Amino acid sequence: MSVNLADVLELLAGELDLDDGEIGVTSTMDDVENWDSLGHLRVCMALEARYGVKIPMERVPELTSVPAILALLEAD
Amino acid sequence: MRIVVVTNTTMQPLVGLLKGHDVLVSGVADLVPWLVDLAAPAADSSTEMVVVCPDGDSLLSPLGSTELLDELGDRVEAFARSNPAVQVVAMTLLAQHRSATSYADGGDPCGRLASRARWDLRLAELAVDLSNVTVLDLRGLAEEYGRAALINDAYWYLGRIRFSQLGFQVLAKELRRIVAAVSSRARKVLALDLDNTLWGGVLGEEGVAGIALGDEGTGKCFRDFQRQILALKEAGTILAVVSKNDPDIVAEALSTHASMVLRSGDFVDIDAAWTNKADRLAAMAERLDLGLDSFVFIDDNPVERDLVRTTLPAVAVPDFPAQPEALVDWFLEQVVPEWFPRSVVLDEDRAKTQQYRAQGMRRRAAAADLDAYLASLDIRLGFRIDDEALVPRLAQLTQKTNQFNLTTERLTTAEVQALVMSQDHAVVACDYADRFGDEGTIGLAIVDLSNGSLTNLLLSCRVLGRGVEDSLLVEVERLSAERGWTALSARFVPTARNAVASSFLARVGFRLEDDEGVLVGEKEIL
Repeated sequence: MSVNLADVLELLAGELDLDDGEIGVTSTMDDVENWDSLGHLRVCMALEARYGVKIPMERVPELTSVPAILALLEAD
Repeated sequence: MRIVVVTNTTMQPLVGLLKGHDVLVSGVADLVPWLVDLAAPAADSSTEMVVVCPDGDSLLSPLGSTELLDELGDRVEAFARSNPAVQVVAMTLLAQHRSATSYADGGDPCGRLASRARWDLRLAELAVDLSNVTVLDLRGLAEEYGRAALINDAYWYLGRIRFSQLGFQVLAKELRRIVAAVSSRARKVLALDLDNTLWGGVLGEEGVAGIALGDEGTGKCFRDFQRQILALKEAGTILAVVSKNDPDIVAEALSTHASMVLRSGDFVDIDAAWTNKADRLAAMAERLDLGLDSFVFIDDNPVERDLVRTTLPAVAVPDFPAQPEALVDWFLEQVVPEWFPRSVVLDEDRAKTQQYRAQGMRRRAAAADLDAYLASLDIRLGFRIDDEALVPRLAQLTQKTNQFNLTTERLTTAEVQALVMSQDHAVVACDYADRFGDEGTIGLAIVDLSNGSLTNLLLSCRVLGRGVEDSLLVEVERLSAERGWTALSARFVPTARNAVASSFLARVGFRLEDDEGVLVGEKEIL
């Protein structure tokens, strides 16, 4: 599907409780302090709910960057 | 509100959904330790609510024992008993209902069915026993939304997150409602349309016999709906009608239709007319002396709903189901918990309707011509002179009455008692009743018969403006005349609050003079 980048970043910022500019198109879990393991699960749950996709359990640990998330959504 | 969530799953997503509250969530392993020690680390003295959310599937594990569940129950009970100021919200168990022993599970005293039922029953009994315990029926929510929609599997295994996004949202909504219930923030009035809301069809067109209300089909949908509304009323919500209808046929339908559950006496106010419903709701709020934010308005007609929503944004106006068969579920799931949540029902709640009826009817009558209104009240006054049994109430009246009080002289019970016993004084107690209710002893006059002077006269503000003070003075004059006096003297001592009494003496014929701020004077007794 075609995915709006701004939408995805807004979702991440909301779930991870981030301020403006704390996350960008190249951000990874390591760059963003609030993106911890629980935050990561919440991001994945929110992505499923927002985009109506089911993320296979084994892929959840791989989606540790904005590019990885975009790739998953666009491949769907 | 400071809320502590005690749980053995990951409940952190709840924090962001309960914005405005200070929410603290235990760790996955902390369920029992936290309850043991809630008084210390988790709950400082500012904690107002503790939410107990045990994970059913973990506690009903097939190879484990259910001892942990029993221990948890003991802890919840002990905590609730020793912390009566903390509201404890305990959840029923949500779990896969099938077990590896299939239909033999029900025969196993430690099986899934028996263990779960024991836990749920224990919570219910605790809630009966302790007013600070509220049950959040998680399994009931699973029946409402579907268990599969409320939970997720992958994130359970990845991070002990049991609930889905929807599950967390539903829980947060339910907790908000419970907070509203324990803070007594329920709305007070349910204002109802009639045609196609309380019954099927249009009364003015089909006639009383033609409306759909009965024990079959559509008629039963509306009858069952009325039963739920009556139950809400019995718990303390007051009901009113705002209908576009002819008042006579409405009265006829409410009193004569055999299947009508809600009768005229169940409503504090029945407003049937053809004018704008928003205006009438606003007028009704004034009659009942309630804010519009106390009102919920139910009407099947989207135009009426929209009018009230736009004109009176403080009134809650829920949507109305398209099909009558959905009425009961809609009412119980969406209307009652959202707008009328309560955590306890008291005897006073059950008497609400009568109280507001009397108030509303008096005000409605007052809006018409004053004299006609007074006549219509059918006021009955009783005077009791030097009645010892009334001494405590009379002393209380001298202490509490600020507005209609000529001298604002406060008297103790002993002082009133002395006046009652004195041959030189008469203490006149005034009782008031009208066709809306009995107000009891609401005024008194004290007269000094040794010199023909009115020591004081006062009247509760509840009955002001109904000419009661004039009748009370007539009684005082009668007593004075019996002792041979041809004139009565009186005085008025102004205070910051008794202006309402200031013109009284002059109006009833006293010739007053200002004596250093106090008005003194006398009038002849005819």
